Formats: sequence, structure tokens, C-alpha cells
Amino acid sequence: MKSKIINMVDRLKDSEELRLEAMFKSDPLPDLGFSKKVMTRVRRQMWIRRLTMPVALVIGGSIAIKPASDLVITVTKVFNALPSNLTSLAVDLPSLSVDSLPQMTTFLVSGAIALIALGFVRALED
Amino acid sequence: MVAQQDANAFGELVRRHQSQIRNFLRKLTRDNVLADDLSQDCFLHAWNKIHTYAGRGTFIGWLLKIAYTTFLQSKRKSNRYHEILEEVGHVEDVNEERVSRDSDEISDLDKFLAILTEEERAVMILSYACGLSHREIGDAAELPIGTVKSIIFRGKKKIRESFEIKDHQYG
Repeated sequence: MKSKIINMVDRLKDSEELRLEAMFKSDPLPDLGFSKKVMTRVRRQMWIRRLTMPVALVIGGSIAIKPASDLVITVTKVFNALPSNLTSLAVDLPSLSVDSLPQMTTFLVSGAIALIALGFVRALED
Repeated sequence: MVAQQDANAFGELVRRHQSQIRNFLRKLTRDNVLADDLSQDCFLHAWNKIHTYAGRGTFIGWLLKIAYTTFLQSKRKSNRYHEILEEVGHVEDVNEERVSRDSDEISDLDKFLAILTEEERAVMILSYACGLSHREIGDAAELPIGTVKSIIFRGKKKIRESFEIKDHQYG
């Protein structure tokens, strides 16, 4: 008896649900170029992403080429100006501990900054 | 080449699901042009987030979630835009736009949807127009299942009471 009542309630509910579904139902919309528009935007975005990095590298490179070449020239001049007996110090370099090299900290900090920047860029993309 | 193939596969998904997404947003916004713009944005977001689709639940459920989020984001932007217009004294322009939109033909469903809150409207459309389960609606609208059920109950009650429908006679 109880199950019959439950079934009847369900049937009533179903009839109401069906009427609501019929009311909300709408015919499928024809595409009429909608997908094409979406895919054009998707492909455009793909190209922009592909081109962003090379373009940024070219622009950054063209800006950096002058100071970088100046730096290389200056470093070469400094090394050439050093007395030749100083190069014998290089033999002792492997015996130095890593911590004693001042540039190691710079490398680590630069690496950390690069990693954080990379993570930030990915987060921005997401 | 692989990216190209993926884009082609995604194009097929767009063709398959565009009708449901556009219909959902048309009912939600009651503005066909805006709905189609939002649908495009929705598919673009889906393309960008496709890697986050883990295969749990249906793909259309996942798409509808993105569509609803896109709608809410647009609504927030639009509210801010109207606030700015009001601040600079362009309220009339906004009202004129609203009037021209309202003067279009209004269907029975539009009348029903008009009495519901935005959240109720979204949940009712997801349930009765899109055919999502309570769990899928909960995922899409980020609501607990219990809340989804109570929103549907409240929505149906409002429709019945507002239009004096007896014995569940809709339409």
C-alpha cells in the first residue's frame, strides 16, 4: 500500500516534471556560421600565442644586442689587461668551496626569479 | 600538426554542443545577440581550459558550467558599466536600450522566467531545458545538491503561485 502511494506520488511528480520540460524545451538552433566564428577566434588565439614568444625574443634581443655586445667587449678588454701570472690562480679554483664563490648566490637568485616569473606567466595564461 | 588536429576535434565539439549552450544563454539573458556573444566567449574559455576537463561528468555539463560562469562574469562587468554610466549621467541611454529590448515579443516562458531570481532561473533552465541531474547542476552552479533541490522547489512554487496554475497545468 505504502509503495503504491509512493509510486503515485512519483507519477504525479513525473507528470509535473514532463510539463515543465515541455515548457522549457526549445528547438535546436541551426549553426549558421556560429562554429566557424568560434573556430576563427580559437585559431587566431593559437597564432597569437605561437607568435608572442618569438616576437618578444626578437624585440628583447634587438634592444639587448647593443649593451650585450658592449659588455662582451668590455669583459674581453678586462681579461686582456690582466697580467698573465694571475691565470695561475685558476688552478686553485676547484679547491674553493661553492659557498665561497660570490656569483653562486647571484645564479641562485636569478634562477629563483626566473622560476617565479615562469609560474606567474603560466598562472596568467590560466 | 597535433595542435591543428586538436583544433579540428574541438571544432566538432563546438558544432555538436553549440545549440544547447546558445539556448541556455538565450534563456538566461533573454537577449539573443548577447547570448551568442557569450556563447563564443564560453567556447573560447573551454578551449583554453580543455586540459582541466578530467572526464568526470558529462562534457556538456562541464561546458554549461563554463557558460554560467561566463554569464556571471559578463553580468558583473555590465553592472559595473551601468554604474559608471550612471555616475556620468547616461542613465537614459541604458533605460532606452532596456525598453527596446523589452518591446520584443515576449513568450510564456519569458514571463515565467521573469518572476524568478537569476539563480533560480539558471537552476531551472539547467534542470528542465538542459536536462542536467541535480548533481550536475550543483557542479555547474557551485551549489550543494540540497540547495539545488530547494531552489527548484521554490522556482516551481513561484511559477504555480504567480500564474495561479492548479493541478500542475503549465503552458
